[in-house]
Amino acid sequence: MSSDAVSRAGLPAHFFAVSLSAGLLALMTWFIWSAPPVARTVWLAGGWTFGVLFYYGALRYPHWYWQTLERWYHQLGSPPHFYRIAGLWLPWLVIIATVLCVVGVVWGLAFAPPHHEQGNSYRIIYLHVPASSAALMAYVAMGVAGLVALVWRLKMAEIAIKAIAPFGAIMAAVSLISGAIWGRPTWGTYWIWDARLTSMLILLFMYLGVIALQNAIRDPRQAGQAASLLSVVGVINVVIVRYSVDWWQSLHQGSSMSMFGTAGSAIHPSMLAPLLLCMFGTYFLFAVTVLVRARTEILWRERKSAWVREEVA
Amino acid sequence: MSGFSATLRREVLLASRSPADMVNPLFFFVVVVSLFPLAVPPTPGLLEAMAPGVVWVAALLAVMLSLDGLFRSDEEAGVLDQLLVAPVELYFTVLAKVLAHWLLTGLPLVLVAPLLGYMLQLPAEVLGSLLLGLLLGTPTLMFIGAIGAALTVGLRRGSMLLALLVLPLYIPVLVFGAGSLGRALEGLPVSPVMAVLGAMLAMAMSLGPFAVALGLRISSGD
Repeated sequence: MSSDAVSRAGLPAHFFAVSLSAGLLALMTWFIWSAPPVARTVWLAGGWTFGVLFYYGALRYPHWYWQTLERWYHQLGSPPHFYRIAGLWLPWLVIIATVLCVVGVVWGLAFAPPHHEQGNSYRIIYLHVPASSAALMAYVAMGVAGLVALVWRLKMAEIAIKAIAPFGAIMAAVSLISGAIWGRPTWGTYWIWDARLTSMLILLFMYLGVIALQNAIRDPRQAGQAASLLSVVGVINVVIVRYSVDWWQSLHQGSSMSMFGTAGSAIHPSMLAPLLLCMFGTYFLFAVTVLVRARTEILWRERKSAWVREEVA
Repeated sequence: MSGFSATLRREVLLASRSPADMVNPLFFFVVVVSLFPLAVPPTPGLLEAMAPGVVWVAALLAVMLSLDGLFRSDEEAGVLDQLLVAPVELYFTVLAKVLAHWLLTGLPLVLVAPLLGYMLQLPAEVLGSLLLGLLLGTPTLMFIGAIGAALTVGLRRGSMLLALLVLPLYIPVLVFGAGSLGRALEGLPVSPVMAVLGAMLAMAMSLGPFAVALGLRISSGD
């Protein structure tokens, strides 16, 4: 039986490759097209510069590119190597995450100016926005890892899904709870069936589904593959859910920060700076959590091998 | 394509030998819908306002429960392993299997829905959009749910897990399906919502079997 995910599903490989690249191209075109003129110029110029440099390098030094790619694939795909590399990175990531989170939270809670309508209650965004963004980002990361696990059957990608899912679920829960606490004084209710709230709730359910499926299957490789398929299907579903619930009337305020939108950022720089610190801090926290969980999972899966015995002893 | 017609024929033959499996989801659908008028106070207009949600949630649950056995009997009899190694495209085998399942359990459910809508005091003008919405929505539910059924086929007590996996995936269909009926009740045109339901059906039908086939291979330990 073939080990290739594409032939496993009974379709020729070029079907998969062509549809994936067409989708990516369409997505990038749409992003650049919907940006304001200045941003469009910057994105296009940056993209062309990067692309020309990359292709020039790839044509000039094909072996170097190929070898680097292969080395990464083998090193990050092999559990002992990943364990050691992650161990080297972890102290630095912990320091960066701590500094960013502490500075961002203290600045946001104590020094940022109060909102002219919401007073001090708006300060919950320093918890709410990073958590929501991390919950979404973690699901996309899980989908990408799932695709890698399905196509190349990389064991590390399966471990990554197992490491990401609980973090994402907790972030979605934090986002929902902090939003409810903020909604009570501002909207006058803890919960409302609004588009964004509902999408986040469904995102939480989907995280729980991935965790449940993983726990139900005993064989770790099989559990990893099943969870990969569910995460990939889930990413498509998250997008559709987002648009389908937007179809209702939405009460939630629109996104205040925008990289692509025509209006630019609607939030004042004195409030935005600590928010950005908190968001990047949360992303680093994500990296720390995932690496620690992945390392633990590697140790457990490879517990019978010699290098783990040496490591633990 | 020989795998497609052969599977279709086999499924219909199997269903004709044990018609009870075919009737049970239909019976479930009818019973669940008739529970609501008993639980809700018979205030005029209340039942009508609830009807879109009630019919669609009941149909969704009936489809999901019927999917639990989609691959299980094949797996127990060893037929599934034969399908996996057979020299035909698994994509078309799965497509035929899910389509046959919809013809045998989903279509009766759709056909009985206008009667239930009448019981829920829906006006006769909207029964057409109820029928059309379910006609487009139930096969979508089948194809999405089949992914969950494929992933949980070898597991004991898989039906609870199937519900956990599949229900979040059903939400877009539910929103637009019940939404189409709601629009019809307000006298608004339903064709845009029907177009979205049709688009979801096209996507689920073309990409769904791909994921189901992969799920079956994963569950069989390949």
